[in-house]
Amino acid sequence: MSKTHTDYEQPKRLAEILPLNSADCFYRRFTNHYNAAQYTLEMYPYNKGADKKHDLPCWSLASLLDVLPKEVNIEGQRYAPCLFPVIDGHWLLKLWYNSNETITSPIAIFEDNPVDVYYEMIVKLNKLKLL
Amino acid sequence: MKSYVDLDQARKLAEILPLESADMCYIKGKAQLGFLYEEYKEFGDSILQDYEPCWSLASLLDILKDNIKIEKTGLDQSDIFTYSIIGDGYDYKTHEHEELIDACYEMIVKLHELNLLVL
Repeated sequence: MSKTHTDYEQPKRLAEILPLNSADCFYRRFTNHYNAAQYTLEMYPYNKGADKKHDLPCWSLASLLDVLPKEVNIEGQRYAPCLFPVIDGHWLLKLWYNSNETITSPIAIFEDNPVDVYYEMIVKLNKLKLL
Repeated sequence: MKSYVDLDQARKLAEILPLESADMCYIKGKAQLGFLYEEYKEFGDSILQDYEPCWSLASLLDILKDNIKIEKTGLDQSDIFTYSIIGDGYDYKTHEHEELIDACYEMIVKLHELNLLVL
């Protein structure tokens, strides 16, 4: 079964990059019998149902697609993000420019599920100040 | 932004796809989504009394990944955010959709009609 949402670790990074109102769900924190923190995924927008002190924002795959710009401008050239399934179950997300003569791709991310490729692309674009 | 198929799409997919491929569910009588996969593994078809299976975008991409490539609209169409899907070797392209999940849904239904859906 493919990963459908960001995991527990990824939201910490995304929360520094993305507006919290773009998180379409959240991890609710509770403490189990052994006094350890556990999380359940709640299907409500973070801004509407979460306890901001304890709960973690979470992004579904669709919401990650939504926050990634449809075009990225690098040195005057516009590139579009394109997602491709590749051999052996992996996914490739690349920024590419496709003219009649050339295909160029300055950034490409390769992971084993779409959530991770979009997460890594968002982090990468933010690092390059392209988001 | 649409993360899961709507109820009508889910009912159509339930006729086409194995239910164990559904990772979400609609809870009958409530406008509420939940997770299905673990419960289905444990209880099988008996849970369908209370739940209707539902598929997330990730699960539909998982089903389609072996025989499709996905294209976004070309750079010249910057006013609307659309997707299309091309079947590998089938030369079939869906309509353009504002939501990727709707393109995935259309592709699965189409491949099923053509008896080409690989599961």
